[in-house]
Amino acid sequence: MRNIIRVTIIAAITAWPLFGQAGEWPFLLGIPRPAVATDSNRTEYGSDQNLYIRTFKAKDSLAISKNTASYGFNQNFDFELTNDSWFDTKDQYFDLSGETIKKGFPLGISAGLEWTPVLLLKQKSSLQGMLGSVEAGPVVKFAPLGIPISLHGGASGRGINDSLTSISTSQLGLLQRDKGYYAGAELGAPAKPLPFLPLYINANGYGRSMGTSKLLAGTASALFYYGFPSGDSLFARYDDSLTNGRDAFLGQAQGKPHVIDDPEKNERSYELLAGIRGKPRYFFIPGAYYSYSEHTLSYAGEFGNRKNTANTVGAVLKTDPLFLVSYSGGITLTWEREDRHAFFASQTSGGSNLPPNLFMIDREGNVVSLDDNQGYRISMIHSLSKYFSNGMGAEYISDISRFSKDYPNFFVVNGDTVRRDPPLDNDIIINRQKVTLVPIPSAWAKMTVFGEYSKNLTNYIRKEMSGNNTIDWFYRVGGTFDATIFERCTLSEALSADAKVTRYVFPETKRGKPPPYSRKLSSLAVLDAAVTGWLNLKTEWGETYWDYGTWNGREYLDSSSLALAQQAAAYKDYYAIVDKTWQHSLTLSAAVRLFDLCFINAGCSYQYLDVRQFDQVTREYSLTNYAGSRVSPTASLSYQIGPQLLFKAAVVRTFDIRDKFWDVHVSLNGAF
Amino acid sequence: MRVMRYVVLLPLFAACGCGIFEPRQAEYPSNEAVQDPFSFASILWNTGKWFTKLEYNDMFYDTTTYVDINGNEYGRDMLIANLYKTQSRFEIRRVSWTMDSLQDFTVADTFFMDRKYDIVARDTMVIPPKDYEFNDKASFKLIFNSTKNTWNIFYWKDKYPGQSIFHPLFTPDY
Repeated sequence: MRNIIRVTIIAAITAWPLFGQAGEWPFLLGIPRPAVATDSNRTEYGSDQNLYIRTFKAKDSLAISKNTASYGFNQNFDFELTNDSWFDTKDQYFDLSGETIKKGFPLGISAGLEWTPVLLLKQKSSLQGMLGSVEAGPVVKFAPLGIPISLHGGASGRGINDSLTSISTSQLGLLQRDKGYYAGAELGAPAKPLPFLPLYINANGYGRSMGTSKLLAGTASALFYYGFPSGDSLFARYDDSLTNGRDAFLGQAQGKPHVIDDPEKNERSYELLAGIRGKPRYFFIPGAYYSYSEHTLSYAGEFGNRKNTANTVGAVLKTDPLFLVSYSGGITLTWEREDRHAFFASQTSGGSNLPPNLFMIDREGNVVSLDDNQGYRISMIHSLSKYFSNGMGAEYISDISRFSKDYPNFFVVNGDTVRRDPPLDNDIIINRQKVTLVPIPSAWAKMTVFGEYSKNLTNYIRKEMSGNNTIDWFYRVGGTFDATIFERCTLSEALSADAKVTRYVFPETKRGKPPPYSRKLSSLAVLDAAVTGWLNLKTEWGETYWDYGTWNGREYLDSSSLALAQQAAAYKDYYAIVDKTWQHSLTLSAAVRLFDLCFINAGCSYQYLDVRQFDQVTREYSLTNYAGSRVSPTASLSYQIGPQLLFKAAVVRTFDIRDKFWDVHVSLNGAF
Repeated sequence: MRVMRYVVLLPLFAACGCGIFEPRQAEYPSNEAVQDPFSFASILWNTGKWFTKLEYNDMFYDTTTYVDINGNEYGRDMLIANLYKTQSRFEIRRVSWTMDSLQDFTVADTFFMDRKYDIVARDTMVIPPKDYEFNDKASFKLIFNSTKNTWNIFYWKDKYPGQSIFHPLFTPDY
């Protein structure tokens, strides 16, 4: 079970795009850093208890590791509990996996046993479900030519049941049982190159065969690095993950705990990524890369087959730190495709009985769907900054991107072209600009001001959707000011003002439905006083105002409204505020530090929300029943009990006009 | 390695010069232009969050779960299928979403909110047309999808007694 979880998580990670965003060198094209070595003879204990509103979560773990020159031993005790009284559910997870190894056999071989007993319990009201599994068998580890290899396998058993009324020994005998065998292997290490090549390889595979199901899962990665004599570097990487077969997991169906059989599927993701990074030339460091990724998912006789492919090219450029100004930027271009083949022709007698949106044959004889789509993304970012040695300076960021998508497939019925409904062929273009200035950089007073502008265009191509085409403008200005007003007292203020304006590209299709418009002003002042070396007092005062409404431009008036206007010709566009909200908040807190071992923080926050909506009858903004106050006293404690044992606790009690609830967190972590 | 300077500079010049950041020409809207019949855009009003596109496939997360008042869970595909089905059958005559708690809150990149809804829909497939009113509240959890630069609904608990118009198994009376 643990192997499945681990491999599945890795497979999920590798299914994500593996390259960075525009302007950044792909993080996977870097030389892996070895993990920090930890003491292999230790006992780690962790307990984390959390209550928030109506959900209690507990996580307890104990890991015992013993390692000598002649043997190794690991035993884990993991327990997780989630109790949600709102939904009346209770989930529990137990894991007692471990391993023991005898070292020092000829040829550097180590051998031993591993065991992975896992139990999952899921309860809803009086209904319960459980899934228990155990795997146990021999383990062999060796490292020919310095390449670590691990082989393991053995017997596998599983018991399942659902909607149990109670768990007892007698009923456990009635569980549906399944048994079989498993085998797995691991080759290489992600942060250790091969002894004879600048190549990092790591592969992990797991297979299981049981009476009712078979499963094969694995991941593999390889990274090649070569440094040219010129100082430039070449990177190439390959990642692959595969899941084939079926498994059962504990979930809910129709509100009851049930063991759910995942249908038999074949899912694979792989990516090829290669790049070349230059050494600094004329103060500039260039880089370029290419990536191809493919993800396929197919079910045996089920709906939902899918294949996604993507090609990406990118280029990045940044300045050497010695250069006069600092620049970093780049561009990436991705073209991608999604094929949704609901069924293969052989599975559906040619597919003639399926609707055309699920099944069509194109001119080349391929199975296609109206949902098949293709797109391309391009994004470009430039960041330019200059800061002097005293801290004064400026920074400018320009970021523009475009994502275009097309659904190219269609068919013709009685002379009418039928496309995907709704047709979502579109362009989304986002253009952001931001300027930051630091005019006052001194140690006793520092000021930062910034301005931000963003223009977002949503552009549907087909006439069925193009009435929704919009342009959104977002504006923000603001700044921060930090000052030392007395020897041990600092004051900081953060201010910002936002406005969001929307315009429809075809306003004539939105008569009577003017576009949204909103504004926001916020301020946060913090006064921090270090009264003594062990006592700190803090005051936070926040004020936020925002309103929301519509921009009643003349072009959005319907004919009846225009006729009702007293002087139609003199009509002026205006911002009609629908609701206004003020939020006032004040937080007072004190922090105490005792002997650098104990930290106590206590305080109370008060918040008042004033929400008003425009009343069409009285023509006034009347207070809504959402307005009200909230008081939250808080306290937290952190205590270093010993050199290797840390205790933390925090509690927040919130009194709301509608509700009151607890937020409690207690943890104890240690290592010996 | 002289080729490195061209590898970097040429795409930049190309990107700036050939209009790749310009939108394509959109067709003039037809009278049947698809709108946002359930006004999902308005559930995020005044929150600072947004849906980049009001299209269900982009609005809902891949593993979105809909939970009805009885705790029955349904997946994203069933939820979306019902939305398309009902918006084609019903004429949505009134939609309003209003706040139902003192304050929405965000934990990490998850946004929690409660909304009251009031929806009047006319079933145009029966004679005479029949009006339905759905008036209750729902809890949402949204997460930010950085890939699409949009917020996605990934959890929706409906508190309407029975089957609301959003219920994946919603069946109108005949």
